[in-house]
Amino acid sequence: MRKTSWYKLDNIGKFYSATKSNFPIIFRYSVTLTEEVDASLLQEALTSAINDYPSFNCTLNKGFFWYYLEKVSKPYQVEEEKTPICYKMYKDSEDLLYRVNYYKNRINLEVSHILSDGRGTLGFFKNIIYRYLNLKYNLKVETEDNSSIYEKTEDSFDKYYTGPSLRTITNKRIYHYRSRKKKDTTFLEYHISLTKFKDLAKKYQVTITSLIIAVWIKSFEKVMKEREKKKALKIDVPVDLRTIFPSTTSRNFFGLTSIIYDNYNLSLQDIATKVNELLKENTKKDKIQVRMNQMISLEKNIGIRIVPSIIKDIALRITDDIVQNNTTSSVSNIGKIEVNKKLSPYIKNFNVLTSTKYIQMTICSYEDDLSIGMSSRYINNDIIKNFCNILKDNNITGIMNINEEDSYEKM
Amino acid sequence: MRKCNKCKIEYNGNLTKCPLCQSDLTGKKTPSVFPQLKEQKENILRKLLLFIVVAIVIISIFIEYLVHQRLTATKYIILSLITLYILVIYIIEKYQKPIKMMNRYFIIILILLFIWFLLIKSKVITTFLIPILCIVILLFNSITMIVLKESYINKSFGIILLDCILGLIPLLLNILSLVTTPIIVYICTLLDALIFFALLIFCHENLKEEIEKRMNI
Ligand SMILES: [Zn+2]
Repeated sequence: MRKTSWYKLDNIGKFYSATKSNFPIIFRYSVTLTEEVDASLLQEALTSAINDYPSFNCTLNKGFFWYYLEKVSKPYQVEEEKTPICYKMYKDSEDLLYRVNYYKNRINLEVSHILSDGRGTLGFFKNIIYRYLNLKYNLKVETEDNSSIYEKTEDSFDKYYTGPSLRTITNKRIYHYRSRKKKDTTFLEYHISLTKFKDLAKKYQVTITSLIIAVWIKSFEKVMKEREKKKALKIDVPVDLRTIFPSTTSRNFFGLTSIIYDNYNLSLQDIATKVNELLKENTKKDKIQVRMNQMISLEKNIGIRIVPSIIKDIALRITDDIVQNNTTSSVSNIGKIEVNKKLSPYIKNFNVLTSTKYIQMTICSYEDDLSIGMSSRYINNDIIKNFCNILKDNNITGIMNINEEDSYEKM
Repeated sequence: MRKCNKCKIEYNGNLTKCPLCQSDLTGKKTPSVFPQLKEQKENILRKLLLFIVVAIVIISIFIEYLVHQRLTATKYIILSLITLYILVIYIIEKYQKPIKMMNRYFIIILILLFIWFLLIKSKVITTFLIPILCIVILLFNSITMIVLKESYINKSFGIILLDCILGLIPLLLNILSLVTTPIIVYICTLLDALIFFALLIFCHENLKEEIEKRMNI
């Protein structure tokens, strides 16, 4: 018997594969090591990591009804970073849906959202790092994952789907930052102290995520025109469903919850409290289950399933535009990244970034470093400036990395 | 690291002004964590080609209309130019994957032949050109299969199957009485049937899997 050579896409993957030409969603993990990266060792590490995570080494192919993933044997050829951050990766059906590159002390793993989500990819990324550091420093640290390949490639959406739920619709018009956009994306990483930020969150009696979202909301409020305040701010917050359902899949398994804010001119404390309450309420299992069912019911609908993929592509692309237009921004917190104690001396920090159509935030932390990734298509960085200023007013400042040199010249 | 005294943010990289508030930065520069990438150049060749095609079309319309007050020859010029343009662009874009390129190339030529047929209605196309092209496609695939064996069959099974279906087009044209002398059509159909049954007998596993994944619902 031949081994399985293809996978069905998960629910989210199906949606993203249809809309990929509209706007490819790609996110990037990067790790900063203490020494420069050795390309050949990295390739060796990747080649063995792929054996643990075979569902990553796939190309995207078009079937009659849906796209599907075709397994290929050759892993990605590691290279020095030469494409822009989160650069589109799907040209034709022979291109892999991930990319591994390096620059100086950094290893970057970029993954198309068709394949996996942030938490699902983290296991793969850590596997690569563990293997790389083992090779480089002659260590024997075991990789962390103990779930089987079957568990890792499971479509957990399908497993925990309980049936269609009704869609809840907000009638409010959603605010969008209107400012000149540019062709490429500005990526920023703001590194601040986790302890300091944690203390601040404690002071406000909210979680880290809630406080970041509250500051983000406040940053938007400051650029809004008075007449735009009739509209509501909507921040999407992905929730890792692995924390709610027992799953160790490395494919997509997240739900979306959103924070809707329309009661302007509140203090930061009031916003933070409100966001905290909303997040707590919306991430309860029964609420999340409803949202998840809503997301999946579309794919489960027999009427939609039997439509040929060429037509589905067009239909989903249009829906995608509507959905994208229906949100102000999104904040995605990967949370704390932990590594084996023996490896931490070789690792300086972790970062996560995502491609965007508007402006988005992705967060992760490692030891005392809280890395806030921001990607923006706008020429002016006022929202980000407001964000940093609010933190500064609370005595939190840090180090910024930006992928541009003197971007103001383009104004 | 360079510092913005207004935002109190420290920056890595080659910046002179704060990207957030535009005030001058102070302190020593440190290298950026991101590489400085050269701007991706747009394919000038493609634009140049397109311009040449458009220019020739406009000039020939202009000249023919000026001389004869009608547009017969121009029609053919436009058709040939567009055909050529599509083929050349295709070679430029896909040159690094030759086998895949050849297969798609055949299909594109087939489609173009059909368009030609619809426009000029010459039975030479349906009697000779399309069947000969189909034979070439089938032979190309058989030879590649024999040379590359497993790896080609596993990787390109969908295309091989598609080509087998395309190989039946000449027969269909014959049934629709669009063929004057059907000898080439018969050769093509025979070859097609042989290849199809060879696939069925030797690769039925692949066939099953291909249908399964293409038809997953
Ligand atoms: Zn500044």
